[in-house]
Amino acid sequence: MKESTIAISSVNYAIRAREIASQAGIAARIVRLSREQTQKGCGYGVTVSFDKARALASLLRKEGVPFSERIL
Amino acid sequence: MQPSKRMKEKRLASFRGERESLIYLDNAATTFPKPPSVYEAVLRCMKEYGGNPGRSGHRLSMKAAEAVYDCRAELASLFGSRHPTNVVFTTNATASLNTAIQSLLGTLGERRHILLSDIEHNSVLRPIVSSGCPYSVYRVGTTEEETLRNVKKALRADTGMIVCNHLSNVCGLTNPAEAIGRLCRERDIRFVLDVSQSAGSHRLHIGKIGADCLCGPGHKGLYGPQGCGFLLFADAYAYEETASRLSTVFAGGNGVASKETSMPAFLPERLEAGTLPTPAIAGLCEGIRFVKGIGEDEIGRRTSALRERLKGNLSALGGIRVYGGDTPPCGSLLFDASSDPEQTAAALDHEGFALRSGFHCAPSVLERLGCGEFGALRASFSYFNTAREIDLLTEAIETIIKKGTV
Repeated sequence: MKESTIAISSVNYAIRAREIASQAGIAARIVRLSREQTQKGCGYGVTVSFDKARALASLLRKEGVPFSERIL
Repeated sequence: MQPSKRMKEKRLASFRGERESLIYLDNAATTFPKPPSVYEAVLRCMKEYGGNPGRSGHRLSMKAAEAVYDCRAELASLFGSRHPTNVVFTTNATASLNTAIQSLLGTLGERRHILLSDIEHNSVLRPIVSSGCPYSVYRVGTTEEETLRNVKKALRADTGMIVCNHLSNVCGLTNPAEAIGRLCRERDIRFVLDVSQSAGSHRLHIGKIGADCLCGPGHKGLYGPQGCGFLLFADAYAYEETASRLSTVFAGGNGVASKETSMPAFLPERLEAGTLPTPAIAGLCEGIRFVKGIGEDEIGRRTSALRERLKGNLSALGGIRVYGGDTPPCGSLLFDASSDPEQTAAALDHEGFALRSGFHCAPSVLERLGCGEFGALRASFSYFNTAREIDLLTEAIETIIKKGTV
């Protein structure tokens, strides 16, 4: 299944993002971002199925969770 | 002169080779003992997953991060917030108050006058004095209306912040938090509430209070270990637009965007730098769960009842000065049996009772209550103290007075 990763930066917000995803019925797991996935150095992301990424991003925006608009 | 019942118990325990037990009545300084689950959580953290939270992707770091987040979530929900990321951890309430005051100064613009009450602990007064900002002190009245009148009288056009405690650390004097919060919202004034003595024994809801920030320690009424304090910011600070206006206070690494030279624009990382006290936070999480399991109302009722019992006992003894006894019930009682409370405290320590003497980091309150030049004794209670312990304390005080030891 194709997946997308939303770069979250902070582990606290990655956990929060996973919580928000879970409340919305979206399966999500926390990952450590690779060198290619972050330009700022050091960060986390949440990986979801490709078709759920935009919906989750919308929820995160509403809840004030800072994330990169570039979905990987 | 016969030894007190307590002294007889201690001698008997010593004769039997049993560990001498101390009756601990200094819970306003730090609660002791803690619930067993707190000790277990601290040890489990240190033994099983002692990684650095938020620094790496390996299992130990992630497990530590989840434990810290769990505590953020428990704390946020305890105080009526749905934003765990609005919880900032520090090392104690003093660090939290310093952080709150310094960070919110960044949002004030030209209005840098600060208002505080006349019953504050040095952890509120000293950071305000150190800030160099102009400040004024209002008097806490005997009624909410009187206090609010005094607050309004002290307000100036350039007042940008009010910092006060919810409950005094030596008597039942309180600031009317919700009323002050409403006033602050009306006039766009920042409001920092010190909940060091009320967290865990009073129900607190940050939204209903209307504070920008609640500050407190993990190791008093929340029954966590020493080494951990917290700030909880209001909902508005969940958004970068508001959080980014907070001044950074303590800068350094936090595992976020390491290539950037400035601190992040969002909470909690904007105000958290360096390794967190993870074992203490893990313990605090269990302390909060303990409080939630019993309920703040029951804990407050129990500790207040102990105070009233001691007050009644001392009144019956005669010759004891009780200070602030006419203030509302709370978990502390200030008193003295002699002209030198340090001597009384030492004599009680000899008898197996741990109480605090002196000025309790709140000299202005003691002056207001009419205490002597050497301060006063304070007995302060936790959920684990009993009526029997209060009666034993009373007997020990009676013995000490009769012996003329003080």
